[in-house]
Amino acid sequence: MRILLGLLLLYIHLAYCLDLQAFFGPKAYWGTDVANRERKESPATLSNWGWEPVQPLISTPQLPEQRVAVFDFLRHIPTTKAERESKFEYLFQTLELGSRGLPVVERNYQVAMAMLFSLPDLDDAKQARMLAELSKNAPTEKNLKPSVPDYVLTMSPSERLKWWNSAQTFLTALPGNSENFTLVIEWLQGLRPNQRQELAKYIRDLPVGEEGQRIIEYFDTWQNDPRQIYSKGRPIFSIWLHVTSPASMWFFHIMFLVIFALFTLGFCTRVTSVLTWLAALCYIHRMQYVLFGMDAMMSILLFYLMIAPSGAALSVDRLIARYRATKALARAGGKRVAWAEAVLAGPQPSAIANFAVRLFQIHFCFIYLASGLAKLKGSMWWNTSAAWLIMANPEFCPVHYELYENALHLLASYRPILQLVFMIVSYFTLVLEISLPFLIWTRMRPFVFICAVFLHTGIAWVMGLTCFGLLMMTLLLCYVPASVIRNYLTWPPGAGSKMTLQYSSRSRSQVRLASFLRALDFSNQITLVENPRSKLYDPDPLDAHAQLTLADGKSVRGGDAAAAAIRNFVHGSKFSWLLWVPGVSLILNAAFRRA
Amino acid sequence: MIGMSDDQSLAEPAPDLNRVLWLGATGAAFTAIAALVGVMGPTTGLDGPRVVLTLLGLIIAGAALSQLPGSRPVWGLFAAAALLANGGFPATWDSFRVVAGVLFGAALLGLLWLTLPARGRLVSATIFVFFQFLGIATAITGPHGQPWLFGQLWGRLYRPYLQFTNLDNAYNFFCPDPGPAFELWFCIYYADRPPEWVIVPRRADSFDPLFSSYYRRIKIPEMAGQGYEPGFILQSEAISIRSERDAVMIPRHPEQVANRQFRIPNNFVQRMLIPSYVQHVAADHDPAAIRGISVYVVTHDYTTPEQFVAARDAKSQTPRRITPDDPSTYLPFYLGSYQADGRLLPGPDGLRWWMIPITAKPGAAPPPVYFREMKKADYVNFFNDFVEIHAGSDGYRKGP
Amino acid sequence: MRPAIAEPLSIIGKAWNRFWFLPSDPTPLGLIRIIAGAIVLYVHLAYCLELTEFFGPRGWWSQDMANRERTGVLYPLSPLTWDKQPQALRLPETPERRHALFEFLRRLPDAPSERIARLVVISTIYQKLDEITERRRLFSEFASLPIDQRSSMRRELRDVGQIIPIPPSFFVFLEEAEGLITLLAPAPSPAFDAVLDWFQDLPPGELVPALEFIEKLPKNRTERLKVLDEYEFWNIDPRTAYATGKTVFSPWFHLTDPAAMKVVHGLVLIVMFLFMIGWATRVTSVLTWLAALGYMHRTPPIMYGIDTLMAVVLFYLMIGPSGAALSVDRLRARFRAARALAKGPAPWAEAMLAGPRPSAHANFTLRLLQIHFCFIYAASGLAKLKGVTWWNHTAGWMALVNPGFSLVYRHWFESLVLMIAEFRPLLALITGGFVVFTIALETTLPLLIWSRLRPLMIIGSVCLHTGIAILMGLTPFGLLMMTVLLAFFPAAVLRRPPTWIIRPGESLTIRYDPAKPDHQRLIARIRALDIASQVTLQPMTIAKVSVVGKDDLAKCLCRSLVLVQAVYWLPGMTRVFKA
Repeated sequence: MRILLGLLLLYIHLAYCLDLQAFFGPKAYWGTDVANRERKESPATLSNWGWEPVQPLISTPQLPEQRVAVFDFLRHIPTTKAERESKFEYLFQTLELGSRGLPVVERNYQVAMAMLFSLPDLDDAKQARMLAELSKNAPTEKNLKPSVPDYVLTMSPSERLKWWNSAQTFLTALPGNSENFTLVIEWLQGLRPNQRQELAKYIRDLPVGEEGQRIIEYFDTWQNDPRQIYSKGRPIFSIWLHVTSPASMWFFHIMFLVIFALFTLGFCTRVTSVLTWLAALCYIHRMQYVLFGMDAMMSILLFYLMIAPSGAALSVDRLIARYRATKALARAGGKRVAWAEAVLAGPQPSAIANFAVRLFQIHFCFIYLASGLAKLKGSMWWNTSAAWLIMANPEFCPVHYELYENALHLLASYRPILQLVFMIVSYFTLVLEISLPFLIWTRMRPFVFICAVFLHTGIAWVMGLTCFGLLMMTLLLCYVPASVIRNYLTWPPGAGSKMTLQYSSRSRSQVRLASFLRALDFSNQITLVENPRSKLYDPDPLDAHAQLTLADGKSVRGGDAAAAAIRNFVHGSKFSWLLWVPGVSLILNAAFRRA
Repeated sequence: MIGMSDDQSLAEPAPDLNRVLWLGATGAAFTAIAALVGVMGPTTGLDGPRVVLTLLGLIIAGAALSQLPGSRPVWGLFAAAALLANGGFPATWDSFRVVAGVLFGAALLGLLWLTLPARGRLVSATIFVFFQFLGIATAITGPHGQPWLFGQLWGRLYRPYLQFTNLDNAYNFFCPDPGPAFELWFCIYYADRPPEWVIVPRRADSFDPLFSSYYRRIKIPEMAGQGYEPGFILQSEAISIRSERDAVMIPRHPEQVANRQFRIPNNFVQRMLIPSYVQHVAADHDPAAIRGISVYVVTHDYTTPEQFVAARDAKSQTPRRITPDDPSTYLPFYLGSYQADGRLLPGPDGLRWWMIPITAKPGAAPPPVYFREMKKADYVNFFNDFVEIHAGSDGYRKGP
Repeated sequence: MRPAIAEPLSIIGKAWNRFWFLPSDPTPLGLIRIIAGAIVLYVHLAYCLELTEFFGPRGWWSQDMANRERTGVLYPLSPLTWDKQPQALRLPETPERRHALFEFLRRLPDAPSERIARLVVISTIYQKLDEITERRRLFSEFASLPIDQRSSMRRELRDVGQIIPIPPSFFVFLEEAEGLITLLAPAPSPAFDAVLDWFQDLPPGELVPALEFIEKLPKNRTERLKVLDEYEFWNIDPRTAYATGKTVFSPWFHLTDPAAMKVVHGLVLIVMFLFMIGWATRVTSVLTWLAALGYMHRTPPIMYGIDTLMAVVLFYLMIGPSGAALSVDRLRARFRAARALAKGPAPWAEAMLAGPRPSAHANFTLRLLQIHFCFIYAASGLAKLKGVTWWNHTAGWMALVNPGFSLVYRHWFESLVLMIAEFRPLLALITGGFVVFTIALETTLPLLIWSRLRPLMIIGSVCLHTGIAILMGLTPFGLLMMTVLLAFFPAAVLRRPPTWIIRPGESLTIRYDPAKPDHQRLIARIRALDIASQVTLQPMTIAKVSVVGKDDLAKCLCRSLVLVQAVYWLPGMTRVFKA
């Protein structure tokens, strides 16, 4: 599983090489700075424990330019409470009076707001006439230009003038340029009665100073009052959020690829698995919006593989372990070394491995069930028309191939046939996805397993989501019993031609040779024999070399022994071409010359 | 009967064939007589006896068959009886000819069955299994956008079978979403008396301990309540409908969105269901005196949890607490005014198919008690019931 | 066939046969018959008081309406190819307007060519968008004149035409108008306008099909009227229908006389009772099924879950040997067997007394019932997932406060719900739990009922139906569902006598004289009733049959025979054991 995944991983991330900049660079589709900002600030609202709904404290306009105007206006709210009271007196008064939904009140409110329009272009004469009229005890309505709300008429002259001045002062708080001015007032007019009081309240107890500004800023960007949201930002990380220069990006990218390769080979898996997981997450977190199913699967697999002892079998680590074991045995020269023998006997069954596999299995069931049940939500999957959308989707499917298209035409020529195909496709998918999580535990397992493989091959072929399909199938491996896998990938002890290696436990080089061969020899072909004479006295030059006796009685010495042995290993035959690779045999010879 | 591996050695010795044959013959004879009477010309008076005779004949033949299900002649007699029963049932009992046909078919199948070897029987039983459950599948997918293939199968193959056996049901209990409850309100106008309300269902109507009869009555309005379709209304018709609506002095529902306030009952409800209901209601309340009956189909909506737990004391006004059968949870749609015989009253009817509001008066805080327990005074004070106004019945409709 | 293929196939085949046709004990069927029979009987007893209201000639769903639907309903069906159905006309929705339109169609002349000729003026009116209103006004004003005035007017206009030039097209227009006016309702009237409106409103694509429809109407007048009438009533062109009428039947389609209805209903109840106790089950099962169907077919608008389920259960009980166990038939068979044994050795009789014979037929029926049950569950479970409310758990709340069904109309229940709802997380937890449990059970039961988890599934489903019965009050339905569940029980479990009802009877020794025929009859009767084989017989020359150590035979048997002791208080029970 680790190996397959590793390969896919390598492939996918190699694919990134080409558009590294496009996806992860500072000027990527999803730019670094935006990404960072989103990471730090994006709001998450949450309904509270009670029944009262969460709604924005004040309603802000949707039109962009009006938004700008309004927030500009909000930004310039005076910083001190006292100033606010004085400057906004007119607004507060109007808002509060206008907050009751009766028709007459509504009219007054609109009049009061509309009046603001006409204030700026009052010349002094008009001003004076207005003031004169207002200061009368009983002003006549028609002389009042602009017209004022009814309640003003009932005031005493002094109040009236005070009111008039408050209007004037409020005017200074409104934006200077005329468009924004109009936009803001239109916004105020548009407020629904119940929102007016809230607005007044909001402006009144908006925190003074820096904080207030910050709140407005945030409100402007995220359309949420920071005091309302439940949490800010998202718990993600990625190296690509910080590394921006192409050179260093390439450096890291290549490093990651190397790590993936090591992980695939299973070298120091405990470390590389964690690193691989983190590295992959870096890519995923960086480009939230270019992801699809594949990446989700990938993170699942990597996560569990990181938990699991994924290096405990079929890995370089394993080979090293074997090497150490044999060495210990050889050193012991005939004495028993329990742990070493255990290691050589094969990977140890471990509870953690089982645990991890279970995690895989349950998670897989969840994936299937979720996707199966969610399909039932629309009627497309009920009436099987979904099948057609899948089979004729111009983006995913091979409709652009002549052959495929013709095949479709052929099917469609007789309606019932095509409909039958639809039905088989969609109901097969539905039934499998819903029933697998239950049947996989019964004696039906092989059956549903095969069906699942079919499904993913089908998807991979029709929808072209090959990587995804392969990942899913990799995931499916978690249902295959270990013994089956071993039988496929390794060789039962006793296979292949027998060989004997005569060595002397006192010469370190010979021991090294012995353990090297033994580590590679999975099916116990080599029997190690202590050179009898080596105990007695110093070896004469003739015995100075370990001697490998092949099945056919030929015997080879030293460096050639290694090569010969490898050639004779059951699996060795597959790798023996390595020996022709220039240098390899040289290295072998060099390594074991003195053996 | 399915002859796989029951050993027949331990079977009870079969009754005497001749006796059974005689029995079967009698049955066939009965049906034959009935058929003959039918053939012998217009004998309308004899319909009852013919039916009885035919049924008896079928039952007797069936009894014979049940005694000796293994013998072909008995099956043959039964088939004959069924065939004759086709003629035995008079034209006024035509629906029973279907039964006779089905029995005849069954008899033929039975005969076929007897001719089959054991293996053939297994195969045919298997075929039956597939036939049966494919049919169930077509029925099940019905309401959810049926696959075209199932649609064809249902229409061309399964409909008669499933309709007869009444297995044509999708088992959608509370699916896909549990719907609201429905009610039917009839306001009966008399020539001489003040109008009178009839409301279905009422729990009072139920008299059996398990409420079976009540649930039957719940179903009565359901079809009328659910049976509407988004009819595409032609332009000038739509205009006239809207203008006629606006001519009526009854406001739209303030709390409901506009497009929920008008809906057109489907053809079945318009032309069959409601007329039938109306004539039934009329039949119960001396039809002679009835001037007209106006019908409202009422959606009894859910209260949301928010409304349900809202301010529990009557004093705090906003938000008002809404009990599950608060008057404002009833959304009545007016279906028009009918004559006692179920035909529409002639004349324009601007409000037909429109929702009529029942709302709490603004700022009113009625006691959160059940509608059915509310005092008339309270009701009048706290609610605007435009149904009453529209129906022109001051008589306060006691809570459904 | 290559063994590689043949072998798995044969394995599958064997498994299939084992599943469906392995002979099994019919006892579950018998038990289901008894309980289901009781429920069916109850449901139909409930009809007694409302027979006329539901099934009478003027019931809610009136007899003539029911008959009309039964015989007349149209089933359109799309063809097997891709080409579309002849597009249905877009008709006015309001009955008045629709009627006006159809009246117009009825007045159409027989000859198709003439029909079109009469309609030419339509195109003249609607050809220029900007003049439509003007021309329509002109048309309707002209139409509103009585016929003679119209002709005179045309004449005068022609005369005037000599002096001031009037465009000849105008005369043509009037000529054409004449043709249509005679087909329309007298103007001015809503009916008159309705037709013109219709022509005006038809979407561009649909005017041509409409004209085609008009042209293609049958030439024969009566035929044409028939088509139009059906079209107007059913809102479907009868010529596009694939089938007409339902294949349903019922005595209630035909019975009108209240007395007769009562009699029939009474007979039905009797039959159902006989079916329940299992007397002549082969016949009564069929009759019960048909009778129940009769009620369902007559008045679909009042049928709900219970009826659907009854149809299912009765259908399978009718197919299967439901009388082969726990039935009067069975007792009679035992009696026959006992008589036969008295005459001499008879292996079949021994087998008969030993217990009901396992039969493939019974197994087959039980399997059908089980599979159908799974279908019911899967269907209702999966269909729920289509609705949003089941995903976001609000369905739970809806079930809780549904004003029609739930208990919320009771104060204590409402205040309980209120108490819960006060604390939102609690309510969310409860409704959520309810929803998840329901869906999980309904979707998984069909799969897991076949595994080791069967007992768990059965318990779960019992809980579900009890819950529904309590909260939503659908008690008979719940009971019937639980009854079907019995099909999943092993027969052995069901055969074990419920010791908490019947105390195990002690064993008796009975002396009798095999020579005496009356003794034989009595003994046969005893052995028939002695289902727990408590009796051991001692043939000897003796005056009267007697139990060893007991004086009164009849009373002693009534007290101790397992089957009898439950019902020994019935009048005349002791007389059964008199010689």
